[in-house]
Amino acid sequence: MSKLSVSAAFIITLTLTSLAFILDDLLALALLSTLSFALTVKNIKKVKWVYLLLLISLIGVLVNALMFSNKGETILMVFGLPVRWGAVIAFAKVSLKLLLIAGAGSWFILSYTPLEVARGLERELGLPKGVSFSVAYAFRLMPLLARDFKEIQDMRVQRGRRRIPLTPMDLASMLTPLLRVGYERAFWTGVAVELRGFRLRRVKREFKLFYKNGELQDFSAVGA
Amino acid sequence: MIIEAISAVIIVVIALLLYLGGRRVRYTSVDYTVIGLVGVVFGVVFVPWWTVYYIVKAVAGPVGARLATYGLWFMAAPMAAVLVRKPMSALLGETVAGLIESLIPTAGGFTNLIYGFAQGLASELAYAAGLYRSYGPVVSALAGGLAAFPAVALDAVLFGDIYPWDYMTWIILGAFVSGLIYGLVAYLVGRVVRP
Amino acid sequence: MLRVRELRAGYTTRSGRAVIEGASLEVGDGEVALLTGPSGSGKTTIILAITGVLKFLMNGVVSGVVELDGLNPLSPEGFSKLPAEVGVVLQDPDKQIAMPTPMGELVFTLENLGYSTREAVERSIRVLGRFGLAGKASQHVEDLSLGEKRKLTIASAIVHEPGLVILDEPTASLDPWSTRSVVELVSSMKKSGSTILVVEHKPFYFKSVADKVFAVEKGRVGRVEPDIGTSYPRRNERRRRSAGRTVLRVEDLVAGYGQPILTVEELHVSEGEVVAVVGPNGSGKTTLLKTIAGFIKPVRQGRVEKASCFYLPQHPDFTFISTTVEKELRDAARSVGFSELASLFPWFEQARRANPFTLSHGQRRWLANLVAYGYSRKLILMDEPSTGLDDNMLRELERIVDTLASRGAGILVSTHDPRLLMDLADRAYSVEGGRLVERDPVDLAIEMYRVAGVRFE
Repeated sequence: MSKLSVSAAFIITLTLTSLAFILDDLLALALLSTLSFALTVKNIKKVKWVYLLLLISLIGVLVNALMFSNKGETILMVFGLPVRWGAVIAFAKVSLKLLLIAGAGSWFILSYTPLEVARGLERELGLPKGVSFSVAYAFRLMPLLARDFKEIQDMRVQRGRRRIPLTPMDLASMLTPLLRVGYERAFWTGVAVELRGFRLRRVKREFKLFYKNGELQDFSAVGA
Repeated sequence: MIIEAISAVIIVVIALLLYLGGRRVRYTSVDYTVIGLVGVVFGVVFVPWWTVYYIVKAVAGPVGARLATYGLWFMAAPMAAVLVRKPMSALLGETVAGLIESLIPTAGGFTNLIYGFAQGLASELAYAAGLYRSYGPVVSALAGGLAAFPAVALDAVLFGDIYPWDYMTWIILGAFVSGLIYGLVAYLVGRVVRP
Repeated sequence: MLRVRELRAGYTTRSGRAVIEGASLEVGDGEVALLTGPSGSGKTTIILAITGVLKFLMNGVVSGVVELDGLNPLSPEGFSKLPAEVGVVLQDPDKQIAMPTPMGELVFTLENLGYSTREAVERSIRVLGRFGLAGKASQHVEDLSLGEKRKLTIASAIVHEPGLVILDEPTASLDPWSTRSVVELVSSMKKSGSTILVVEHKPFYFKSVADKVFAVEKGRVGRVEPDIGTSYPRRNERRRRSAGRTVLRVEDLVAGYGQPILTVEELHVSEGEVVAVVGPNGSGKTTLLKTIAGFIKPVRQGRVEKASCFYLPQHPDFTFISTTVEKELRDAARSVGFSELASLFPWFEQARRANPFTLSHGQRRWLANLVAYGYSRKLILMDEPSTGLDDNMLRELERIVDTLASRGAGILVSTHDPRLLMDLADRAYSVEGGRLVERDPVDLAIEMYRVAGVRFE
């Protein structure tokens, strides 16, 4: 079985997302968003939060539509307020755009691990090796930083401060230890990587549309 | 449609110019790990920040919400620039943060990457305008502030957030001031992290 | 073959003073050499200098003759070719693992050196198997224990079979069980013919494999000791701290995240007493401390009677919230007056306006401990405070803990470091089969040294 390559999927997702910005046609938006949503249905459990958040943000979209696009023919009255045709159209359009974005993004995430993405973009799309490395390193750090962040939050609670940063100063006093410890790690990791020949790294660039059997195995053995 | 096409052309031209200008700079592995660090810190902080944004928006309205919270999304660029201090670091920092956010499950999907790239470009302009001689408080605050323009423009296209002109001015101003404040915070943090 | 002659090295051009002044050492093919010495003597600087890192990545100044398997790492070409011939393992695994998975980590090294992906993957699978990491090849590296992370860093340095391997403090912050497996790995690398240089301030761990020992002192190497003393540790005739009223009593508590990890039948700490909780990585020591501090809900509550307490995390930096030392201490002055806290901080006058994060490592540790003491002069919980500390830094920690304990603070400290048990703890509890058992600290320390493979004479 062959599988769509990371770079092809990346371009498709980016195009779909850009279309969400550009398209204004209700029917086209409906088609594309249904399609991208359908692609994620198989693994919907893993991205249920995405859709839940999407539903929540639709409240804001609705309010916006009623405030700024409530023009034209009145369709129905809710609590004595007229809901006009313009608001319905505006709400439908923005909702479908957001569904398209969430669906396309979820499909991409469900298809590849972050490390596969970093490697795929490097060797297929010619992303500079340093940027690809940054992305891979970021995903190496993620759980470590989440733990650090939790520890900082606990310390703040212990010292009688807010757990969630609400002012820029709160934010600064939480970011400083996080980045300070992280910077030290990042510096030495940079040195270690240099000692493992990062400057010698040459990637053979080759665009692929699909991975054939063997390639896929090589590729995914590298894991998440 | 025409306005969008023109903005796209402007963005591409700026990107190309910056790319050509920044090509001579050598990045070390340490620069890349630091970019990755900034990317993951802000990629992860960005996500729960939406909740704060919505809460503030409910209380303070669209302008107040932008003033209080928008700047955080612009912060990765000045943060990366202050820590790396090389041309293109602002653009890279914000873009990588946006890419990271695109690769973890969020409702925003790839819009994060698009916003990140556009905001990073705008922030990079601040440092480029200073001929990459200064990574200090003024330029960093400006880097945060400039990101407001692409952010508000993209909002207008995506959410249909098109308000009457006078109101729009307030929204842009709110986001801009917010960017200034958070850009300055990024500088203050960066100064301690990399003395 | 590693040969170093008249090496001089320093960090900045401005200060002028060299850290290393005239170091010479030679390690023949297939030999294992130890480089030992007190902290601050420049052991790590030697490693950074002879690998070219100091000169090419840290703007340091290096002169002298260095030859690593025929390469001169002080020339740009030599530095470029170095990774293919030499494997380097740095101190802290969290400061060198760069990829999200063990497999990615090994493939990364091999691809840098020009292997094709297919070759790289095949070879990595083999090496991970040899290191006992095959089952975790595609898991996230943060799901690995500290010992496994250490093995991974060694694996990623030798996956391309370099002739020369350099390890900087490979046993730092490992528990005795993992220490032993690192020593065994070095021994098996020696059998397969590698030349190995180990920097280690606890040389007795490597006594069984070392062919020669170099001692670094005040920037000079020269003396070659053939022998490492491992005399039987003497029970310290130290002053026993007099215990006062009980500040913490725990009975019948089960700690864990939903699932039970650690059961405590009885645990108590008195005023002015230093009590250690000892166990391997991942045995639930930190979980216990956080449960006592109230950050984690216990699985079974039992009975916990405690004075107000302060939990001090492994990284002291996470404790700070203010922008100057003075603000930090004023904010912390809750149960102890500000002037008392300030008088306890040895550098207060010079540093009062400094940002806490810009202080030196030792100063930050003092400050964090004083913040803890300021919040609670009765009971301080310290999580693995000796992680990553060399002997000099450990002595500084001992001074801090002594100061606080002599003022009546009860201190509960989690650790897997036998040094801390030897020199600091008044009493100790050991995690045995998921339960906490009270043990004599010195006996426990000797047992841990034995587990790590040290043979006492």
